[in-house]
Amino acid sequence: MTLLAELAHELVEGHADAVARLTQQALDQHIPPAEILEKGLIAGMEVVGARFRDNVYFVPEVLLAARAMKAGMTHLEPVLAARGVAPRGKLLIGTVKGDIHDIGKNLVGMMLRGAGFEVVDLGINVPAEQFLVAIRKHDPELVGMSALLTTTMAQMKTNVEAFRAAGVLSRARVLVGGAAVSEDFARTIGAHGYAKDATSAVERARELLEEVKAMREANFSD
Amino acid sequence: MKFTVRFLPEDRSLEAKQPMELMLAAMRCDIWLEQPCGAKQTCGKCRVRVREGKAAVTAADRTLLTREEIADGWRLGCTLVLRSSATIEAPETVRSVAGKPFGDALLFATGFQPNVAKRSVDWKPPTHGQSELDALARALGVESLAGDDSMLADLPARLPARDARVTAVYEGQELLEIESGDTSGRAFGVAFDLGTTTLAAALVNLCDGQVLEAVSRLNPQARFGADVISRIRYAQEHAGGTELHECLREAMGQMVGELAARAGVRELEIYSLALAGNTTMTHAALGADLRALGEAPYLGRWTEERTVCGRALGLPVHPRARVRFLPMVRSHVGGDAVAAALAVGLDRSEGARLLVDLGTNSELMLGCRGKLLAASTAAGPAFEGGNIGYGMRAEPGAIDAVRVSPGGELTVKTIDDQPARGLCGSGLVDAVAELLRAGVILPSGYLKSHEQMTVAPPTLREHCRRLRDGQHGVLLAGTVVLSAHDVRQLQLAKGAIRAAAELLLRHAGLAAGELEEVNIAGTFGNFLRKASLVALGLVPEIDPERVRFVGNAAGVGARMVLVDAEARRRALEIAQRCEYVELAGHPEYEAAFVAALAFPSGKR
Repeated sequence: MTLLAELAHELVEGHADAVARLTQQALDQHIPPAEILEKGLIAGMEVVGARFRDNVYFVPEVLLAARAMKAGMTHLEPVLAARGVAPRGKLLIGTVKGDIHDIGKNLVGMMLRGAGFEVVDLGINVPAEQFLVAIRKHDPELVGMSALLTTTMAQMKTNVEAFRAAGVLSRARVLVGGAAVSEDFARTIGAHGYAKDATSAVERARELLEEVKAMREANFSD
Repeated sequence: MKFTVRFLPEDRSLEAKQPMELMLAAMRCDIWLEQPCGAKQTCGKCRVRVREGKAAVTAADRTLLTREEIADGWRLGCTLVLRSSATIEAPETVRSVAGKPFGDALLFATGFQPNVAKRSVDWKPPTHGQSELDALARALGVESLAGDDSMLADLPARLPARDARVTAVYEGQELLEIESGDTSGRAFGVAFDLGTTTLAAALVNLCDGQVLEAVSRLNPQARFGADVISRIRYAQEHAGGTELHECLREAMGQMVGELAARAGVRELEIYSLALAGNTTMTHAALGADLRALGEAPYLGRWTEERTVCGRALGLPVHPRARVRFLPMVRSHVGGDAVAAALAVGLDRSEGARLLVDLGTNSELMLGCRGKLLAASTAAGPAFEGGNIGYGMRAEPGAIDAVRVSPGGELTVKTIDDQPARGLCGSGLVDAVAELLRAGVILPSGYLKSHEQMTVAPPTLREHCRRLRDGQHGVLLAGTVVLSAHDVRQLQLAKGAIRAAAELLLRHAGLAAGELEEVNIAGTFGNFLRKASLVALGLVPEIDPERVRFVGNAAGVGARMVLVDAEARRRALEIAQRCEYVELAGHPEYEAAFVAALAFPSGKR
C-alpha cells in the first residue's frame, strides 16, 4: 500500500495518532502537501461519507474520522498556508434563530472540512443580522443553514430574504438542511440547495461551489 | 355548492358546502386517520383511495405513489382537499385506534381527602346580625365562607327561610353550591390525562375515590400535526391557531358528557376536575398562546398550578366546578410529568430512581432522597413507528414481539394475531435486541448482510436480505422488513434518552451504578420486554428486574390530585423543587449523545 493510501485507510478507521504520524511522514518524504490533502485525507473522508450514506458508518464513526482528519490537518495546514494553497471553497454555517440543535450542523461542518472546504461555524441560535455580518467579513461561497424544528424553519425564509436584500447572493449560494427541511421547502424559500444528510451536503456543496465560481467570474468580467 | 363526501368501508357521509380537508371530513365522521410525518408529505403513510369523484394529483403524490397507484385513485390523505362529491376509501393501515387504559395500577396508596367537600347540615336561618354565609360556615364547622358573584347571586334562592336540611359543596372556604335536602352522596369529579396522542378521562366518585367510568380517545389536534412541535408550528402559521384550543375543548367536553351519561351522573353533580397535560396541552386547553414553546428557550407562559371554573372552559360540569390544571416544571416538562412523578412517588424515593415517559415526547425525571431533576429529549417518533420503514402504531397486525432461538429460528408475534403488516415500538425494540444478541447487528449498530453472516445458522441467514434501495435488511414476517436505516433511527432515539439519563445522573452527582430503579411510563411501555430495553442500552446498565412499567402514571397522578389534598400539595412541591436540566446547548450533551448511540456489547 502506498503511504497516502495507508493514510486514507487510517483516517477511515478513525486512528488519529496514525493519521498524524503518517501525515508528517508524507511531508518528510516531500510529497506535495496538496497531494497529501487530496489523496490522503480527503480521499479517506470520501470513503467515510459513502459508508455513512450507506448506513455502514454512523455518527460515532464519522466523528472519529473527523477527529483523525483534524489531527492530520494540524501538521498539514501550516505547510499549505505557507505554500499559498487555498481551501477549495469557504462555507459559513449556523443553526437559525430560535433553534439550538447543532449535532447535525457539526457533522456537516466536519464532512465539508473533510472535503477540503474552510468552514466558519457561527454556532446556534443565529439571527439574520449575525449571518450578514459574517458573510460580509468572510465572503464565503456558500452559506449553510440548519433547523431541526418545523417551528424554526420559517427563519430560513427570513434569512434568505435578508441576504437577497443585502445583495450578498450575487457572490454566494445558500444550502439548507435539518430534520424538518425538505427539497420543496428549500425551493419555496429561495435557497439554492438542500441536503438531507452530511454526505449529500458534501455533494451539493461541491455542485454549488462550481456555480458560485462561475457566477463570480461572470460578475468580475462584466 | 353543496357536495357529499362518503367514507368506506363504514359508509358514513358528510355534506360540505365549501372545500374541506380530507382529515377534517374524516374526523367529522368519527374516522381517525394517521399523519405520521405531520403532513409534511414525506412518509406516504396516509394514503387513501378515491373510489368515486375527482382529486387533483399533487407533486407529493407523484413522488410517493406509483403511476399505477395514482391511476387507481390513490392520493396522499394528509393534504388532500375535497372540492366536490367523492367516495373515499381509507384502508386499515391508515387508521388510528385509541387505547390508553386509564388509572391502571395505582402504584402508591393515596390518601383520601378530596379538595371539594360535600356535606349536609341542618340549616337555621341566622337571626341577629349574622350573615347567611357566616351562619352556613358555622354550621359546617368552617372558619368562613366566600363565594363568587354567581354563587352570591344564587344564595337567596338556595337558602331556605325556615330550618331545613341542606347540602353545601365547597373547596376550602370557597362555596360552590347549596342543594336542598341531603345530597351528600352525589359528588363526582373527573381526572384527565391530556396526552399529545391520546386523551384519557375518568369519572370519579368524590365520596369514596372510586373510578366509575373511563374513556379515551385520540387527541383531535392530531390533524394539525402528530407531535407538539408541528402543532405549535401550525399555531405560528395561523395567527395563534385557535383551532387547536377549540377542538381540544370540544373533545374534553364530549368525553365528560360521555362519562356522565354512562354513569347516570348529572352535569351539576360534577364539581371538581384535575387535569394533567404536557405543557403544550395545558396551554391549549386554557386557550393560551403556544407559539413561544416552539423556539428556544421553549418557555410556556406560566408553570404554576391553575384553577378555573367549569363555566370558563364551557365544559358540561357545574359552572362553578373547580377545574384544576396541575403545575408544570419548566419548558416541555409539564403537568403530566409532575403527575407521573407523584404517582410513582418519585419525591419520596430513598434510592436513586429514574422515571422515563416514552411517548410522543419523552421526558425523564430523576428522584433521589428528595432531590428531583427533569429533562426533555427530542427522542423522535421511532417508538411510535415514525421514521421506521414498516413502522406503525400498536394496532392489530403490528409485530410487537420478536424472538431468535439459539438455533436461529426467528419468530414474531403480532397484535391480535393478525397477519404481520408492520412493526410497532415494542416490536422494533425486541427485533433489534434479539438481532443484536444473535450477532446480526453489531454494537456499533451495523446490520450485517447475508454474505457476512458466516457463522450464523442458515435459518437466520435466510432472513438477511438486500433491500430494494441497496441497504441491508432483515425480513421479519410477511413483507415486514427491518432495515439498516431503521436500526440507525432507533439508535438516535435511544441515544437521546440514554444521554438525558446520563446527564441527569451527573447533575445529581450520582454514579451510573447508583441507579436503583427505573420506571417506564406511557402505554407503549406496557408491552416492552425489560431485558430488551436494557440490552439496547436505552436505560443505564441495571438489572432488568429493577425496571418497572408503570403504565399511564400521569392519569393516576391526576386522579390522586383529584381525591387527595395531600397529593395536590405534593404535586405543587414536585413542580417547585424539581430542577430542570436544559439539554439543548448543554456543553456535555453532544459527547454524551454520541457515546450513547452504540448498543452495549453485552459481554458479561
